[in-house]
Amino acid sequence: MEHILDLKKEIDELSDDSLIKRFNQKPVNEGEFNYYPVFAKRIKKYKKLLFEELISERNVKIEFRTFKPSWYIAISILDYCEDEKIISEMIQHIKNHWDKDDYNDFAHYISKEERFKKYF
Amino acid sequence: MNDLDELIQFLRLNRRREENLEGDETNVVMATVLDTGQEIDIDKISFENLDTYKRLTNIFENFNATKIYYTQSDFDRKYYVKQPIYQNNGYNFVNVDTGLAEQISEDILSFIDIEYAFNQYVFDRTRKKVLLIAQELETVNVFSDAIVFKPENLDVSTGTYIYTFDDHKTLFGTISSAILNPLLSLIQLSDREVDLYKSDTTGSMYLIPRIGYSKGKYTITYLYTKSKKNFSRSIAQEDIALHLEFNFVGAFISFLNETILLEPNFNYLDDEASDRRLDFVDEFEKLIVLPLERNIISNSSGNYKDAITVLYYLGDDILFSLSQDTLWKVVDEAIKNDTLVNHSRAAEENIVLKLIKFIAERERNKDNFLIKLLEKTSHDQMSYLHFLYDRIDGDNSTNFVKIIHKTWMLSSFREIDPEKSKIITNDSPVILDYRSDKTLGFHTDNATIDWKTTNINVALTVGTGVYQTSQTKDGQGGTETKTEEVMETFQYSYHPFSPIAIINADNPTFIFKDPEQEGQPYMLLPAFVLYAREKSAFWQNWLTVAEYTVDILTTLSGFGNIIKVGRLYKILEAGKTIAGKTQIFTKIVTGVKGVAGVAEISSGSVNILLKLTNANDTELGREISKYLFYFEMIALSGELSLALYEKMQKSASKILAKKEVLKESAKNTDEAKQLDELVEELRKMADNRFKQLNSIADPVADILGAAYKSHPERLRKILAYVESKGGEVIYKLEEALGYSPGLSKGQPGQIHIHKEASISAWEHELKHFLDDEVAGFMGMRALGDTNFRVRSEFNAYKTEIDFVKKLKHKDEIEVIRQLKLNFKNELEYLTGRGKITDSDLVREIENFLK
Repeated sequence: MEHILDLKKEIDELSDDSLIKRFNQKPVNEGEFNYYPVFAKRIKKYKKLLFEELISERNVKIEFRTFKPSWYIAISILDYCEDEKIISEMIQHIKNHWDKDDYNDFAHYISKEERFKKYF
Repeated sequence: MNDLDELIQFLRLNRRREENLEGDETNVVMATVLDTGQEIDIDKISFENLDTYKRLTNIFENFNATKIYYTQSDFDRKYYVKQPIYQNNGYNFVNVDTGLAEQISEDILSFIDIEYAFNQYVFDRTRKKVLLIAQELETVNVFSDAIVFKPENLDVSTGTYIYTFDDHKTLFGTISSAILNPLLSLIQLSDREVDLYKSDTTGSMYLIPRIGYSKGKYTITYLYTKSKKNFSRSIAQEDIALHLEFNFVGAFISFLNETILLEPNFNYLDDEASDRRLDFVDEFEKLIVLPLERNIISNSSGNYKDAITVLYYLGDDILFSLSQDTLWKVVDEAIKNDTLVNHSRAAEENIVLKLIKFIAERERNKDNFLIKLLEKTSHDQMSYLHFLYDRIDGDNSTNFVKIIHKTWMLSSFREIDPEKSKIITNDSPVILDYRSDKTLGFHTDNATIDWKTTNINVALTVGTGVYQTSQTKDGQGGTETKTEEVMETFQYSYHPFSPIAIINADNPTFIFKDPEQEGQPYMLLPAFVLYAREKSAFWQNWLTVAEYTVDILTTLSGFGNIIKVGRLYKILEAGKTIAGKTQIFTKIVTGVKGVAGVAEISSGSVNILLKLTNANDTELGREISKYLFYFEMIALSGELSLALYEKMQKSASKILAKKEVLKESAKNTDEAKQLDELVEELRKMADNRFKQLNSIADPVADILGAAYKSHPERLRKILAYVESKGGEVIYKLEEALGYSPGLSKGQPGQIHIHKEASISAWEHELKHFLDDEVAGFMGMRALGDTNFRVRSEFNAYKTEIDFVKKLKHKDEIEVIRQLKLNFKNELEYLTGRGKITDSDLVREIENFLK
């Protein structure tokens, strides 16, 4: 299966401890976004972090003309999480916390990917 | 200027005159007396007078003239063209001044060949001479209505255009003003679309077009004769130079307003400059005016709405062509339907008020107009006068009172001699000891005025001149002596038009001023105006009180009940909106675009909030009361001040902070849904970014406005390009801008954009799209590449700033400063989440931001 997002080798090879340690050092040298697919791949350990990041104000409320990190995190989970139950939970989670329009826009955005479309 | 503006400019009937006046230092038209060769200069403004300088184009054309004949005597010389009489192969001679045929022998006439274009000949009625105008056709101000049509000089081509007709002045003002902005959304994009056909061959074209209606579209066709010469004497009108098709009657009339109907050298009611103009008026009557009259008298509400829409766009002249009865019929329908609110595609309240003004001004016997206003309506037996005053708000209310007062001053009702007046009684004295003032923004007076029945009742409290002394305890064990004037209250009952004289010295800040009575020690007014003054002062006082005592008021138990009998509730229950019901809603809120759309509340939200005013959480209950109170203030006064708006924002934020408490109060699904909507409304109100986004995230919008208005053609090209590449544009109702790359590699992305975004914002987002395209559409991977993201952002802002520099706008420095600041903020945001490793990029950015 071809993934939407790349896993950066240098991040993917980090131990769990190093991963979280380096993610928490701001700014993140390798780019914060590149950590999310790795977290998603190891979602059993990082579910809480990802779910918090999904609805954290800094990722949802964006002041500038940039892509919403919350969308990227959700896509990381859809792309790398293999646990259908967690994916369903994640969808319910964002549905409960994101603005209705935001959620609908997101659902429209990912609808081009058959693999994701089925969840919405 | 967008392309259609250029076309309109080209087609304007008065354009050449204006250009001539601007560009010609001499400001004269040079002419030669045809038969004597005497050279004369004519002031261009004088030359515009078609009565003095009669154009001979038509008469020459009508009789295929090749010669001008004139009497040999120089004294009182007359000029003629030859009119063949086919029955006997003879001739008549038509006097070019009178247009009448005269039987005159050719033997006594001399002649001169017509060697120049017909429109270079005029008859000077003062000199009684035919003049030949020296200037070339294209530089002489007004000649005939024909021009040279050179396709290469007109930078528009066949295609579809967006016509922003709502920006233009109409009889009823500029409808794109901030006041009516919320209404504009009711004009659909398809209403603005105009299909244009343009011929690519030079010729002679009439500026007066043919108009019609075909297959659901209004059409305007400019006919011409193809020719390589600059001008031909006669336009056969066989070919089409320009043809326009409009979807919406408002756009069609607006176009004609801009090019012909409202031009100063066109007179709809009495324009005999040419047969073509008469034909045009005739076509317009058949196409627009007659159906309008039919719609008005049809008693159908659907037709009435159509009529109101057309009325909105018609100019004064055309309106004056309608009968008094027809105009009254519109007022009747508005009253019958109780729809006096500016919420439709046309501002109905404005129109009806304007019609009332027309009717009043045109009515010779002003008494008749006023008597009609006293007739009862079907609404609670209220008179027209009472009903209209009750329904018309804000500025319109003040204007309505002025119309009534002005008309009243010209009527017999103003008669102050009780012997002559039919309406002055013992209960309605002319001289009234009415006293009013305004201190610290608060109006006071000595009267209570109500109007519950036919008459207006005034309870006046006045001093008797008798003083009495009383002693009261001073609270410190002693007594205090007070001397006060004994007051007495008198009850009066006035016919609404009964005259009242109030002493100016006793009313220094009286709300209503009549300039025509300036300098008098008193002001004469009908009782109705005093009532209106009292109401206006009352509402203004409410606003003043709101500034000081809102905290006290909202602690009152049962505050919800006060709101329930208030104006806000009444407006919303009637299915209307605050924005629609308040004329000067955003007048004071300068620089805060879109506020009218934000400061809105739905009926459902009010109901929910009313329930919550008694919430267990007292603080929340009070905050809700405050919030509702502010809306009540807007509803009452028709005004939204910036101070009030800010208070509303703060209040909304405080309520939002307890949104969980709000949500918990939902007792069923319906209430939960309504609460969600309420939270959304509050968020919109509270979100400061809303008012900033227009001016900060998209500062160019402040100077250019929306792209679909300022650069429709460029916007169309951008859209076509994005679409051709498989990209997507997502229009947002809220202020939003941004580019989302496609999901996977090779997939084009989405431009998320507010429909009112400027062309600069569109160029910005297009730049992101193009950068992504050059990189082979990177998909989501692009987001992990900080260098790429910053580079693309840098490119996009550079594009915008270069664009702004080309505009050479007076606010250029401020706009560029804001754009650079925006870039800096985005840079900080991006580098807060990743590191730039491209040192060249860092250097470029440093130089850029210097």
